[in-house]
Amino acid sequence: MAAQPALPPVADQISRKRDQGLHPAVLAAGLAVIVLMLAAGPDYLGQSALLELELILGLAVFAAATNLLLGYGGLVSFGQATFYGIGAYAIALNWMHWKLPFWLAFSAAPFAAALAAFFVGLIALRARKLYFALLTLAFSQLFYVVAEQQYHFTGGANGIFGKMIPPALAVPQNGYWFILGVAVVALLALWKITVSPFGLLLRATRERPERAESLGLNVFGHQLMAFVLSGFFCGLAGALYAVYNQNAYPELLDWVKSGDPVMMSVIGGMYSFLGPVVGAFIYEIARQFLVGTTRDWQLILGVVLLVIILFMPDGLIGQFKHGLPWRKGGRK
Amino acid sequence: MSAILEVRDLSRQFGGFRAVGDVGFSVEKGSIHAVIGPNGAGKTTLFRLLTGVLKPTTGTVRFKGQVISGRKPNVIARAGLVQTFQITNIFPRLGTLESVEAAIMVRRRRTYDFASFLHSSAKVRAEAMDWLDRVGLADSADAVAGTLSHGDQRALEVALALSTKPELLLLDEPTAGMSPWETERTVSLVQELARTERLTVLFSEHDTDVVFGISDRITVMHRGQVIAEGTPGEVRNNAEVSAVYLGEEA
Ligand SMILES: Nc1ncnc2c1ncn2[C@@H]1O[C@H](COP(=O)(O)OP(=O)(O)O)[C@@H](O)[C@H]1O
Ligand SMILES: [Mg+2]
Repeated sequence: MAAQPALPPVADQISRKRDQGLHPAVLAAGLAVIVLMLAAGPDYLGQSALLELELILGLAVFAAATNLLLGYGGLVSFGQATFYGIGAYAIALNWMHWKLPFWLAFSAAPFAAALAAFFVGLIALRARKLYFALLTLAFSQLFYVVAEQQYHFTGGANGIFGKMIPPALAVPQNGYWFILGVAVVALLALWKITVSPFGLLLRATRERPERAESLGLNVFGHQLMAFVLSGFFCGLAGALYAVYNQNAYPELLDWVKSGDPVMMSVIGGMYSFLGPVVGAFIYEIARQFLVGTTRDWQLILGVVLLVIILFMPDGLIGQFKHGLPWRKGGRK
Repeated sequence: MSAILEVRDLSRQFGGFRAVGDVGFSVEKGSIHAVIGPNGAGKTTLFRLLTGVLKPTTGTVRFKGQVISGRKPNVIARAGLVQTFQITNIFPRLGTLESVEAAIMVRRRRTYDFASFLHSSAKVRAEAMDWLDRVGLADSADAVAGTLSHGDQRALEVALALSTKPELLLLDEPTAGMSPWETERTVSLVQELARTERLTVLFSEHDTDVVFGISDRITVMHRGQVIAEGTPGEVRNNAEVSAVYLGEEA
């Protein structure tokens, strides 16, 4: 008798089993209610809460886009801030130098990020695992250094500040609705990608790239496409940041910034689509809270992260799907 | 009859060790061809050379008249030469049905399809279900592939390769670790497909009972080299082959 194979260590994004997590219809209805409540935010939330939400919504897109690589593709990139930063800089640089309409810059921002992702991916994806992570990190630093040193073009370490968004968006409520609308559409698009044939094959490359290749899949091409798509949506998230904060500065491109969406994905759960979104909310709210109360907030965050990695490897959403004691019929 | 696969002077060196040395043979279209030999003979290495997973040190492989040695595994697979792996190589955290759907999507060149919903393609799902049925996994369609029993994972391994609709299927010890009943089912499926779909099968086994029953031709390997080739009858009566196998059992 051959030994029974070990259970897979973690759950997966798509499961036909209805006994895991919520029923899709319930989930969809719940999410619709949440979006409607967010849309009505200006009616019952104060100015600072709305601003905080603007930031988080962009970060949620950033995290979900990063998790396309991390959770679905099994690719650990520490360079996604490169594309986030490019998205923000696209708007800021256009405002400073080229003075094309904002809407044009906003539309072009994700494409600029995707183009950069294409070239970074072309090189980084040639390497395996650890070296991939290191190469993405190196590119992140490269873009950071360029942004910091090209003072006349990028404003150097100070970055670019100014009225870079049209007056209509500068009205607080409008800016909020715009960011909410774009974030929701972006998340829907990302989700659609994950449940398409492309998304399935991306998960197959995560599981066993050489097996996927033996079935006829061009794994490198597939991963490059995922990298470009991720870069696109990271760039869009960065453009949303420029709308929120009306600036762009080198730290947006930094590898430290690249760590944020990875941590958000780990906290929320990288094997479910909503994990990184939930993670973005938790991470940012916790950060705000901790920054206000203690100087050691990074230490506390680190400990929390460690606990999650050790005890909830699927993150909070994963835990909800198959670990809560009152849910019967979870994973065997 | 014509050769679908022609292997000439194929060698693979691992450091100073020659795992496959100057191997040459042809596989006739529509035949069931076996490669046998004791453990370590070089069968797995040979298969990996044929499917491009490993690069040959020297020699050429022609598939349907075209030189394929040196090409990438995905290109070779697309050309119609697909293998199963001796050490089960499935997608542990995908669903069983999903795994086969993935293979079908590759075959249908829908790898960059972002638009359709995976779970709404009734045609693909029905086909995937059909493959699972044929290998006896219909009841496990919803299971996570990595939780299947060893025998079922072997069956899924076969279903994955079959669902790409290869012209030449390489099975590396397909029945290793299968129960006699599972072995029987796999063998009869392979025979049926060879007949109905004109599928050519090249498989390796060290269980010689299976081999002699279903093969049209047998190539015998020992220490990286071909020591005999012929019909099951010829191989059975070959003195050198008997010596190798007796030596093994002693
Ligand atoms: N990657 C490798 N590196 C070094 N030696 C290898 C490698 N793969 C196989 N070998 C050696 O090559 C020989 C043939 O192995 P293999 O092809 O697996 O034989 P078989 O499948 O007939 O049992 C064995 O001695 C094995 O140890
Ligand atoms: Mg072997």
